[in-house]
Amino acid sequence: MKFKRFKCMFLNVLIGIGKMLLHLLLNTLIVGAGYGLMAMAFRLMYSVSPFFNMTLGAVGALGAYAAYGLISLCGLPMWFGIIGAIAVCALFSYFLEAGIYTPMRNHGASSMVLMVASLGVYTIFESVILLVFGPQYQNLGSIQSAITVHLGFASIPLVQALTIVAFFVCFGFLNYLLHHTFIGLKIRAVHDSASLANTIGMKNNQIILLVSVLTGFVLGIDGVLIGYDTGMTPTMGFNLLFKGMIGAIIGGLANLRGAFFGALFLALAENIGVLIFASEWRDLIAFVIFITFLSLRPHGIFQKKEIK
Amino acid sequence: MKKLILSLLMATALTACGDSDSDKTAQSDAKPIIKIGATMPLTGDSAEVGQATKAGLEMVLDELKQNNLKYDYKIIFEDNQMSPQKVATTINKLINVDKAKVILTFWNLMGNTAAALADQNGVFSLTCSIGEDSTKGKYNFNNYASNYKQSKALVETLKKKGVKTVALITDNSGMRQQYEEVKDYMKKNSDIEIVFEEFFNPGEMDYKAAIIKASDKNPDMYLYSGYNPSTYIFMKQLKEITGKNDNVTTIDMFFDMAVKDRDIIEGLWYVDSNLNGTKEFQDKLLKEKGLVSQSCTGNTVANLQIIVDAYENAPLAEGEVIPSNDAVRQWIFDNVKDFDTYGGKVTVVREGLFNKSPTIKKMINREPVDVEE
Repeated sequence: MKFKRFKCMFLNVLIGIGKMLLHLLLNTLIVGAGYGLMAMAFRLMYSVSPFFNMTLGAVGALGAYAAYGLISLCGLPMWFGIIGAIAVCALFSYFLEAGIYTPMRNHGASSMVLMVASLGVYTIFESVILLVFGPQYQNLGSIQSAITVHLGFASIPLVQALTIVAFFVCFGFLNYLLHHTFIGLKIRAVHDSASLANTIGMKNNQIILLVSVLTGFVLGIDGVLIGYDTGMTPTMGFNLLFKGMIGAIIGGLANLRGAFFGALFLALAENIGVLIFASEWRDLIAFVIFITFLSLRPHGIFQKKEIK
Repeated sequence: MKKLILSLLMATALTACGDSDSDKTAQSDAKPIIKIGATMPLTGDSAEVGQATKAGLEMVLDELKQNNLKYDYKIIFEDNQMSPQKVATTINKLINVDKAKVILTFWNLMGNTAAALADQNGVFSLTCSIGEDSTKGKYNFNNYASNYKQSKALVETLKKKGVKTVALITDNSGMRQQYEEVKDYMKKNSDIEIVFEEFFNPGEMDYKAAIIKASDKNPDMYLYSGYNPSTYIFMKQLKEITGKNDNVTTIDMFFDMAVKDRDIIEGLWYVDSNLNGTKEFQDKLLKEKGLVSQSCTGNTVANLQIIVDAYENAPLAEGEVIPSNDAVRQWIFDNVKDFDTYGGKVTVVREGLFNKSPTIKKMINREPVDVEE
């Protein structure tokens, strides 16, 4: 009898732990998907324009604010507003590249100079958002609280389910584009050797501009989803960029797969860290992983070391 | 010709440069100027709070000036972006360059720095911050309900509701100090058990992992505290994971969200120190400036009302143009008892603490309402 009671208790504890772990894994997927969209965008842009572009954070934040402006302020129907916001991000990314970085690159600006310029642009963007929308926290609406997706052991808001779907769809689309289309071949050629691609007559600047549009598209989706999930503040762009960038570096900047898995790995490490230690360690864990990879495996998980 | 132009330029420059000493009466009918320095985050992460407080101070000063005051009060605003370096720099500038007689601030970082610098320079510092450091100094005052009173109000209400276990989730900032006092009061005066405890870095947007851990312990109540939109996000994520969020309470609610989003906190009861100010003030600020009153906005505005009243009513010694600091200070200690302000009724207690009794409020139809719990 005592043994039966003990067995019952033990099973209950196991079920409890199992449920908790499942919840944490689900959370890893949700958080990783958020990081992953930025990681893929960062990797994509970095592959043709290799400098740490801080304005990617601004493009992501613009997705949220553009959707807010179109839907909440201008009164557009939700789907028009979302599509409009994504289009605005793609255009913004294009104009940044065409108006600032390409001319600078053509004048021989180094990666460091481009990075500093991007920091300046990001600062301007943040100030403009503050002036136009004010400092107040905004949220795109409460649709998430009305619709949930039931997974048996847990329910998640629709917007978080959409984040996971968007993550996989964007990965699938970009992977197909890069490896099964002529455009993708050109992008990979510029990534492998920009000078050689130029020599054989490829118009590198056009490729870079196209990639900037694709990047803006992905970041627009990311921004809109964040706007619906956790809302937005004028300073959200840097946080958005930071974790995505770490995910991309951990996975390896050589290919998209690295960004995909790197982001998931980062989210997993953070959640395990929170489970074992405490939530206040989250950012510390991210930094430790980042520094460790930079020190021991700077080419990332999936990238093979370059043989010189 | 050159000499003439140069002379004209010099004469213009000399005329334009006034004496910035607030004790001087330039003309016989001009009021003496009393400069009040206010340093706050007008840009950056906390800009929302700084902008609301700035608007509140300007609005209330305009209102006070309609009463035919004896002195001319000027508030000089400086943006510190909540950077420790800029907080110190701006306060030094306000005191030493602008010759401010009073420094207004809020929150620990600004309040404690202002208190130290004001004390060194013999000027007033009035703040709204957790903790006792900001009252150290002869002319330093802090407008905040004492942590003890807040803790007592919170724990006694939990006891009345029959709460036996709590999960404590709080911001790793000045709030942590406040909750240490709550824990202390809880241990000494109740049987309530803290079954889970976790701290977050300010600005956290993902509480899900901690909520998953906490819900495993099945607490009767979540004691949450945080700045900015974190309360909203916490309650949202708590509901997503556990299916409900009517088992949360907090000390001081910061309405840093649009009114439409307050649905998520409907039914929430909390201990209120009136940091955002009275309903009258909050409505006035929203109507006249289109801004929502934020953490410590009400108390900072109340500090302005108190210091202006003190200067207006403190006695003048012979030969003085404006009352001395000692006279103003004495007036405050003698007269600020149940003093009506936009931050509620305030009484000065020992060592420059303006104390208020916290109340219990509940969110009903998106508005905070006083309740008896």
